[in-house]
Amino acid sequence: MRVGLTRLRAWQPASLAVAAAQVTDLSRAVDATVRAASARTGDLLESWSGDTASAAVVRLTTERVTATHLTTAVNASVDALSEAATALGDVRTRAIEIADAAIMTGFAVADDGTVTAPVFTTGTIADLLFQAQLDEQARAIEARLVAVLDTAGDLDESAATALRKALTDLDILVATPSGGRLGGGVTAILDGNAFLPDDPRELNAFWESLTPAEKDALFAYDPTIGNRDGLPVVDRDHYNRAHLPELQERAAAHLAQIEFRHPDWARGENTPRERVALDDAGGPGFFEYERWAAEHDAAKESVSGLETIAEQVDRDGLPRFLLSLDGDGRAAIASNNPDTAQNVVTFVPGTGSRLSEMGRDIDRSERMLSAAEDADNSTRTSVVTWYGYNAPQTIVPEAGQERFADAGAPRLDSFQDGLRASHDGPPSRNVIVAHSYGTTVVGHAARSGGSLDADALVFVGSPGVGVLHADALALDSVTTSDMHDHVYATAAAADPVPAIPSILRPLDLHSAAHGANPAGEDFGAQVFEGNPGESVRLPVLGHVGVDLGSHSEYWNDDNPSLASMGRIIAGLPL
Amino acid sequence: MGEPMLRVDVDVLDALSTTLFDAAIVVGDLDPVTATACAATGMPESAVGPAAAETGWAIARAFALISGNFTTVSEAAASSARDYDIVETEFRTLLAGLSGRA
Repeated sequence: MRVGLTRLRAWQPASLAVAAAQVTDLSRAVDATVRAASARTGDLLESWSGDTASAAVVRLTTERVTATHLTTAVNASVDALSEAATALGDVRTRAIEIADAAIMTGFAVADDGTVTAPVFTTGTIADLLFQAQLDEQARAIEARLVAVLDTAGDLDESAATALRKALTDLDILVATPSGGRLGGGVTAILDGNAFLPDDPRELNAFWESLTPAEKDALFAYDPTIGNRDGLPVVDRDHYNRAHLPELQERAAAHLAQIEFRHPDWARGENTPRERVALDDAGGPGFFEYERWAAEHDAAKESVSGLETIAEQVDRDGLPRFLLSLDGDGRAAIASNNPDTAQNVVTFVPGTGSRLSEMGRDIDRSERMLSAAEDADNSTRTSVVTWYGYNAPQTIVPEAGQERFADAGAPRLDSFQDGLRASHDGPPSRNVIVAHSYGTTVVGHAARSGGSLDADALVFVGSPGVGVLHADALALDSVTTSDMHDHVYATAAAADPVPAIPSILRPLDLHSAAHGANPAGEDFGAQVFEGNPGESVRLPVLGHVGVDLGSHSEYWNDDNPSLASMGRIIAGLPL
Repeated sequence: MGEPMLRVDVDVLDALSTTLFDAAIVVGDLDPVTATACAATGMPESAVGPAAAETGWAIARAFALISGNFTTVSEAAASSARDYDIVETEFRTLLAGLSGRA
């Protein structure tokens, strides 16, 4: 059913997004309350045994499962609200743009989309010709406008249907809290006779067909299910938040186990300081201490990293979504919901990235988000801080090695496919911004037969991306000849990292050079400028970048590179 | 010999009851109807607006169920704790009486 222009102008689809965000907060509050109560009651019941205690455990478990089913069902409502906000917001904008453009040029636009040309009268014979042209224009505008108004009506109806299905599912669950019987597809997976689809699009379609109880059953079977690319963002966040406390407990237990082996070393006492064997005295040797210390450091980082994740996802400010996490130092946190944003950025950081310091890169992500919305405040942007690969932790030797990029590339590829698969409404503009070694990861994912589902790549302070020219990279919907228009790069003059390829190549250290500097003249990227940083002029070599700090300053407020990234993300010319 | 066992049970039950009661209050105080009302007013004369408002009520029913379930278990725990307390008191009185007779 067609929607009238007056009614469409009165609609505020953003209010649906606000409702979705508020319900998300409530759902998270229920989850957190139930989790905290479960943990507390679990502790209490450990000191109580017997038939009554067993009955209490069963009853409390039942209540927890019921609550989980219900919040999962609530999240389906959130998804429906978010999807409605995106679809209706887009169609409303298009209709109003068409109508206002017509009115501005003198056409009359009726509420039902009928367009009438202005009357052209100069009193000459040419009037008839011009009037015919104007009438033709009016018919063309009307055809476009009416189609959009019809679409608005259809989307309104389908959004209402989706919401009513979600609330019906919720009401059924309230009446039958156990969630009823599981479907054959889910049962086959739980019985080990089938697997979840690997392809993010297939997984998304399968997931959307499940009841809340079926989703929860799959989570109970595989607590890491929230990491699956293709699941809706709201569900990824829901299950990863639910999994986080278990990972934290496991990490803390592992650390305690390591410290238990050498309580004195854990306190910093009796540590061997020299590379001499202490075995003479019957004690452990230096090398055993080194091994223990490395293990201890890794376990501490794991505990600290997960604490950081827990703290970051609950920070005030922009809504954050925990898109992935594991016990191996990888995670992804989105600022704003990527499923409902028009611009979706994946930010891939570089050497030295570790979960315990993820807040720094989330800050950079949110600076890019603000820059994009400054560039075009009519579109919503989401930025994912993607720690989905294990970054090198040392400049030498690790940052010179390709293995980190090779391991991260397929993960990034799958992640991008998942963003596309779960996105609501018209396809978003997806941009990957990478920094330092992160650019190498992106390059490895987009070269040699690989291809990323993204609309643009942005390389910042790159040590090389594994190829010598932009057209050796591939994006799913971009032809090779057009790659130049979709690859961007910046390198501060004083940043020594982008100079690495040109230093190592003449020394025949090709294995340590990751291809050409993408901000170099011959690479074929669109280069944007930033603050140059401090440099010194040396004989023969000329200006040499020596300001290591400049490698980390691309996101500073006073650096023009930040505004340029905002324009690229928003799809505007540099 | 039985006294410490009874005391532990009462403490656990009291703590259980309080924990669940507090959780029930938190969940019961959440207001999804107001949270979704903005969608209904922001989308006048649409199909999706009223559906969003109905969703708020459905979510409220779900939260009420969770809160109600927690309250029920909380009350059961509190009631059992009182029963244990009574049993313990009676037992102690009985023991005191027996001891007086001896």
